[in-house]
Amino acid sequence: MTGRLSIVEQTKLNIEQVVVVVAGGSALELELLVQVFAGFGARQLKRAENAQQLSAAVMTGEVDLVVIDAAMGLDDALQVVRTLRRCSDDRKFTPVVLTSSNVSEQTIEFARSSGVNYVVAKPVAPRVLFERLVWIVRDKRAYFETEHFVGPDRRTRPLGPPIGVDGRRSGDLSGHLGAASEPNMSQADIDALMFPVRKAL
Amino acid sequence: MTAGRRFRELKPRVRFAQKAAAPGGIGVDQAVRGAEARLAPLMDRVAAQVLQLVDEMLAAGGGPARQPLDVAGLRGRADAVVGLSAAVGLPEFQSVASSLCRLIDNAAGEALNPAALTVHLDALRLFRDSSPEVRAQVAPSVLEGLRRLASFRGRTAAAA
Repeated sequence: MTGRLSIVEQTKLNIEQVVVVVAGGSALELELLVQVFAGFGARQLKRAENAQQLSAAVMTGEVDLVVIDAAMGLDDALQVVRTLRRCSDDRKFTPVVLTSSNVSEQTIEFARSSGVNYVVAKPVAPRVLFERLVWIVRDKRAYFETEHFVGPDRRTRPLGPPIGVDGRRSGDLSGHLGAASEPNMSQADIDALMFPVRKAL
Repeated sequence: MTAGRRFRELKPRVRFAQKAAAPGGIGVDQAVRGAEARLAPLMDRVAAQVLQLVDEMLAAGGGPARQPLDVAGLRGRADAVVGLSAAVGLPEFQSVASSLCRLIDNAAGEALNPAALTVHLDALRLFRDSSPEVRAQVAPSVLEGLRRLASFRGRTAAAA
């Protein structure tokens, strides 16, 4: 029996012309990641062994996707991401995936606040990596530029702005309710909403 | 709106998404098969590398007491073991190395608890010296012990 296909299963990606830079980790880990992308069909793969090489690669403006292993040094890696996000041109929209062997809440918070799109726990399975690529393609999040942050919206769930804070995004609704535009519901109407009853049709 | 603070909402132009949408793309199953085919020839090298890293970790962690422990080196090797070992069917090494990474990260530059470190290194040594059958047999209890250690350390850190 075939069930309904998930969004990931429905999506096809052509990354033949995509320029990918993979950075950090041991030489062999880097090689594995390169081979995974080659298996996905990528033909333009660059490697960066440290933050300097990564920075040089991403600032050329030729890179379409960045995958960084936090083993290169989380602080150095995220500094490169913050610099990338502060670019004045479209380089700042370059998607960044961070892989890490210790995906604590603190690491994720730090990474997101630096402008990382997604964090993936090591070991990186090819299926999980491809799924994240699909997520990036389908990502509808806006980017925000503030004094202390540039990057994709850190709110991934539609929960609205934090309590007590006015929304700043274009999609945020006002907290002010205004005057009622319809008469109050009767108790029977409310009960009917809360306790639906089965009726023969 | 927060007055006086810079705030801009931008609609991103993501070149990756534009290129990836070109015709001729592949789905997840084909992509995974492609990746696995590319990885297969590397697996012997990866397995050898994992065992070498474990040896280096045991040597680094079991050195003379007077010799300062190279924590960064240990962390780097444990990280690599996490990244490599599951790919070659050595998930027990991955679990221990992952726990060791958390232990080192949670110490945040402070001295590592010697007993906690010893337990991790002993677990690695046991797995290295065991046959795959014995490893599979003892792994659940060893890994459960490490989980309890991490949970105990988490509770004591929260209480401190």
